[in-house]
Amino acid sequence: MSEAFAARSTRAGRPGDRAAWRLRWLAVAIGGAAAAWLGSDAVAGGPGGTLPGVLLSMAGPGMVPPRGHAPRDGDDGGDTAPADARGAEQFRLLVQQVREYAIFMLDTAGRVATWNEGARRIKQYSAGEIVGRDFTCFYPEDAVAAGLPGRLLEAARAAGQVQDEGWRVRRDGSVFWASVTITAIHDTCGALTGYGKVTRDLTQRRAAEAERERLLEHTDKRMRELRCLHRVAEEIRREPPFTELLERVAVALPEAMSRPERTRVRIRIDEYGREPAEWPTTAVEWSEPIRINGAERGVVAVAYMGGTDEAETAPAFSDDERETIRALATALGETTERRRKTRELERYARELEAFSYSVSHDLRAPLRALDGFSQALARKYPDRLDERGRDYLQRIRNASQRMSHLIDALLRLSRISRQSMQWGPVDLSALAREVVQDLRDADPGHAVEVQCQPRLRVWGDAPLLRIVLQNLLGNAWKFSRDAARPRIEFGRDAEHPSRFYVRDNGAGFDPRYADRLFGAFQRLHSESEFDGTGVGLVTVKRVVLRHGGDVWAEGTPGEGATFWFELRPAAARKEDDGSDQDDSAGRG
Amino acid sequence: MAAIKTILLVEDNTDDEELARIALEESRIANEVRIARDGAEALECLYPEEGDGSRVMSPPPAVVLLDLKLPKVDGMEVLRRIRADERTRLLPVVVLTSSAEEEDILNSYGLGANSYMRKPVDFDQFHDMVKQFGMYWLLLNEVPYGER
Repeated sequence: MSEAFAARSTRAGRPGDRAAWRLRWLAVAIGGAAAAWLGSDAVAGGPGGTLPGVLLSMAGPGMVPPRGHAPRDGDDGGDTAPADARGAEQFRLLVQQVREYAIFMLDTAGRVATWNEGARRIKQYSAGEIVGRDFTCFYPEDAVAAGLPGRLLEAARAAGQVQDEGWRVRRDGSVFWASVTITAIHDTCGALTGYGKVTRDLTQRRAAEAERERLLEHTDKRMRELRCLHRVAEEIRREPPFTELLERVAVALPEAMSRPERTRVRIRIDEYGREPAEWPTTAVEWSEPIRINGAERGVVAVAYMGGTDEAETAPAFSDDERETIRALATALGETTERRRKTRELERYARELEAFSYSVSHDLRAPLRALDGFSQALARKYPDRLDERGRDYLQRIRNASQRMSHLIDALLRLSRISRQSMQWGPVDLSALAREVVQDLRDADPGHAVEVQCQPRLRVWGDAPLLRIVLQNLLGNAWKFSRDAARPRIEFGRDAEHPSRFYVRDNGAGFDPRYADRLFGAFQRLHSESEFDGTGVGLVTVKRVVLRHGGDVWAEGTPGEGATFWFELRPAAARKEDDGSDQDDSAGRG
Repeated sequence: MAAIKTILLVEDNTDDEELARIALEESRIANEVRIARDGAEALECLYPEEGDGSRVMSPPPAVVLLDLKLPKVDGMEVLRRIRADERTRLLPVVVLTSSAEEEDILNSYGLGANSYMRKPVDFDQFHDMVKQFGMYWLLLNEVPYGER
C-alpha cells in the first residue's frame, strides 16, 4: 500500500502539503471504491495499478453485499467476490457520509455518476438533480469556454490523476474556491471506465490566507514606515547641516514606500534642495508642499520609477504612503522653522554678549573717574575741605563703588545664564564647609554655630552650586549677625531627598514679601541695616532653575529664615541639552 | 644703572591717564611716561617706520601698559604686532583694562602678554596696583633691552 501510495503521491501536488495529501488519498480511495462499484475488474489509477485490492481488503470481510445497487456496465457483478462487494458497499456508504469533501464519480464522458453528502453541501445539488448531468456545470463560463473541464479529464486520463485549484460554481450561481483532484479509473484491461473526483471548498481558507498575507504585508510596511520616521526623527534631533538632513531624509523615505527600490525622492526648502540622480518622466508622482508659518516654502515630491512589468508601470500612492510623505513634509517645515528661531536666538545671544562686554568696559570707566578724582581731591587739597566737604567726597566714592559692584553682579548673573552647564557629581556638604570657612576667614569677629549634614551628594554644576551656597550661607551669615546665639543649618529634607535648606535664626523677613525676595534689586532690608547688591538671590534662582528645580523661602521677622532649593538634574538636562547644543553651534 | 627706564602707557581715556599719573606720582615713580592715545600711536612709538618716525621711543620702553579697548588699532592687535616683530618680541607688555572677561584674559596671555591687570574702580586699590607695578617692572624686573 505504501509503495503504491508513494508512487502516486509524486505525481502531482506539493509534497508535504497535508491537505493535498489527504485529497490525494481520498481520490485514490474513491478510485478503489469506484472500481468495486463499476465492476470487479476495474482498477483505479493507470493501467497496472493495484489499488482496488488494497482498498477492498481494507474495507474488510464480513460486510453486507450491496443491495439494490445497479452496476452501470459489465456483468451484474457476477464475478465479484462477495467479501469485496461487501467491502465496496461499506466504503460507498462511508464516502456518502463524508461532509467536508465532495466525492463523486464521472463516467468516461464526464457525466456525474454518483453523489455524496459533501458534494450536496458544497455544490448544492441533490443526487437526483445532478446524476447524469455533464460536470462542466460546476465550472464558470470562462473556464468552460477555455476548455478547462475537458483538459482536466484528458490530463487525468493521460497521467492517472490531476489536481487543480480554482473557482467553481454552485447551484445558485455563486462561486467558491475549490481544490480538485480527478483520478482516472481503468478496468483490468486498462480501458478507461470513468473518473473519481474529490472537491474541497477552500473559499474560507483562501480568504483567511489572503487576509493573513494582507496583514503580514501591511505589518511589514508599517514597520518599514516606522523605521523610516524614526530615522528621520533621529536625524532632525542630531541637527546635521541642512543639506545633509535633506539628503538623509530623502534616503530614508523610500523605505516607507511599497516599492523602495523604485522610489525616487526630491526635496526643496527655500534655497536648499535635493535632487535624485534619475527622475521618471511618466510615472506616478506625489507632491506635498512644505509649509512654514502657513506659507509654502518648499516641496517633498516622491515618484515611482516604471518597472519592466507593464501592469506595474503606474502604481498609485496609497493613503498610508501619502500620509507618511505629509508627515515628513510637516516635520521638515517645523525643523526649518525651529532652526530659524535658533539662529535668531544665537544672534540675540551674541548681541547680549557684546552688550555685557561694553557694560563691563564702558560703564566702569566713569566710575573710576568719580572715585579716583574724589580721592585725589581729598588727598591733594585737604586744607581746603572741611569735614562736610570730605564727607561729600566720601559719598561720591561710596556711590561709585556701589555701582561698580552692581555692574559686576549683573555681569555674573548674565554669565550664569549664558555659560553651558558642566554636569558632574557634587558634594554639597564639602562645598558648604569650604564656603563657611571662607566666611569665617573674612569675618572672624562673628561667631556662628554652623551645622552641616554630611555626604549631601547631588548631580550638578559644581561652580554654579558653589555660588548658590555662597549666597544662601552668606545671607544667613549676614542676617544672623544680631542674633544672641547665631546659628546656621544646612541639610536635606528627610521626605524629599532632592530638597535642601539653609536655615538661620537671624533677622528673618515678613512672609508677605516672600515672593519679592527673588526679584532683581529687591531688598527687604535697608542698606543701612544689611549691605548687599540685591542680585544674590536672583542669581541663586537662576542657578537652581538651570538645575531643573526651584527656590522658595520661609521666614518670621526676628526669628530667622529658611531658604529651600530643589535640584532635579534629570528634568534640567532634558531642557538644557537643546540650549547647550545651541551654544556650541553658536561658538562653532 | 643704564638709561632711565621709560613706560609706554597706551590709554585713550584721559581720566584714566590722569589717575595713572596721580598714582605714579604718589608712588614716587618718576620714570618718563609716554602716552599713546590709540593703537596706531602705540605702534608709532615702537617702530620708526610707523607714521613720520617722530614719536619713536629710543631707547624702547622698559614696559608697555596696554589697554585693550582702543580706537583705530585695538589692544589685541597691538599686542599681536609687538610679538610678531623681531625687535619687540621680548618687550614686556602688561595689559591694563576694565574687562575681567575670561575670554580677554585668555586671549591676552595667548598672544603673549606678560601680565594682566584689571583697573579697579576703587582708587585706593588702583593706587596700590600702580605702585606695585612700578616696583616690579621698573625696579625688580630685568629686561633684555637694558644694555642697549
